[in-house]
Amino acid sequence: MPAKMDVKELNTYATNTWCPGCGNFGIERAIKLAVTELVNEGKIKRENVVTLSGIGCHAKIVDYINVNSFYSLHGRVPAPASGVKLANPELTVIGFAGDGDAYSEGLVHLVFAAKRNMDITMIVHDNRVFGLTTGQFTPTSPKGFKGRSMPRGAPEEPFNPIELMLVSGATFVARGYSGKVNDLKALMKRAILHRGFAIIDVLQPCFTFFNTYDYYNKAVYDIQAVGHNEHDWDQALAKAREWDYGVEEKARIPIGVFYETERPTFGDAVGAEKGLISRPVPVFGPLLKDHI
Amino acid sequence: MPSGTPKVHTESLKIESITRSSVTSYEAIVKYSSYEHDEYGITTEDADLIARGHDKRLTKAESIEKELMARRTVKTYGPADSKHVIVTWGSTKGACIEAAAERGLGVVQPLYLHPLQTWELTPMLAHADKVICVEVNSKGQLATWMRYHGLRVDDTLLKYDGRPFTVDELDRRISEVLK
Repeated sequence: MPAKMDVKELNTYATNTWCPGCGNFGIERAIKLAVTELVNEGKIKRENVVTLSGIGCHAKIVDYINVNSFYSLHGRVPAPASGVKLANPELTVIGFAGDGDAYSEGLVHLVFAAKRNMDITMIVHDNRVFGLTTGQFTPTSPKGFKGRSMPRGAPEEPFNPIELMLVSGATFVARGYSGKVNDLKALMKRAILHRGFAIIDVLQPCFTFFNTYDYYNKAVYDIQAVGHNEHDWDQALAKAREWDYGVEEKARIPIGVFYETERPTFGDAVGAEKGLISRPVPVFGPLLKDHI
Repeated sequence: MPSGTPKVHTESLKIESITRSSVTSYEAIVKYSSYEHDEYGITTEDADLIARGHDKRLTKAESIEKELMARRTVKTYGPADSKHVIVTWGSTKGACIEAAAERGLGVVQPLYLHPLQTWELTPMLAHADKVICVEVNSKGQLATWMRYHGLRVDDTLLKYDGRPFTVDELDRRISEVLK
């Protein structure tokens, strides 16, 4: 029986450069707890975990977790995540992305990963603002949001990523809140163990450019606690439409698992049959050998 | 080693000893990064490490050039010692070969643009009275790129009306240049 892993083993020496009060800390804590517990429960292997990130404040998370990682390009996380999973289906693939990352630049990657039911987990740090570039509006910023690129207020309505993922074919769709770390950890554990495309839209206040702590603390409620049939797609869609990513005072924001179902993954459909997965590691030519 | 350091580092910045492990060995935590990073793959803003990262990537370019030197990277058609030489790239090749054959001209077609294969092109063009670039674009991109590398180009035959060169048209335009 191997010794239980301590969550501290997932720390690295990297200096954390998120602002004090950043919602990312809640996400970092939750994922470390989730991975530690899943490893200790024997459900995943630490050495098989591969984390990926895009570009933005969220992306630094892979520097702060001592597991395999691939710090990729802006918006592209679902693409390398899909590649990692297809190349080695044994791996547990967890992609982190921001809302500016996953829902604008990389939206098509995300929609197609859901459509294909790629067996990966996507955790979206949705602070509803471009934080690293100091405050421009994103696809989930509320209408009227005054940012650096829209000083008179964003003229557009935000879109609802929960709704978008449901209609795109995602087989596990959830929303979390970084201010509720234990609930978020539980969501992450379920998402990671889900076979197929799992996404958690994590509401994450940006303390510096869009501080939504008070608003979320008042508005969020757990849909599992009030009774929700997460296997009913229509009910999930109706639940998703309870909140439109606005900032109304009286809004109630459902968090928890909206929908979970099973269907064959992309790997099931093409991998085994076409020999695209589990193929041997390619033999590198002399050119690459110099650098590997 | 600071605590929390991955057990095996992935991309040593010491160029002479670069080792990388594959994922799924417990002994190795592999961290890849598109950002400037230290030898463990952790993002860095350190000025010295950033400069060393650039140096490392430049040596990769040198390796690519070395590898290309070991293969044939320029295709030639027709006589190697013709008085005039046509240089072309991409899908214009076919029309060039046919038009050149009628006049007994040699055709030179570089297969890679970067790095441009000056080591092969220079001797191939040295003897030519006229080096003529035939290209389907409005600016003579290949000619510009060749001149940037110190190669001589005497004339450019360009076409940019959304249609490829025909052999007849190319023959006529070559004859105008060689008048």
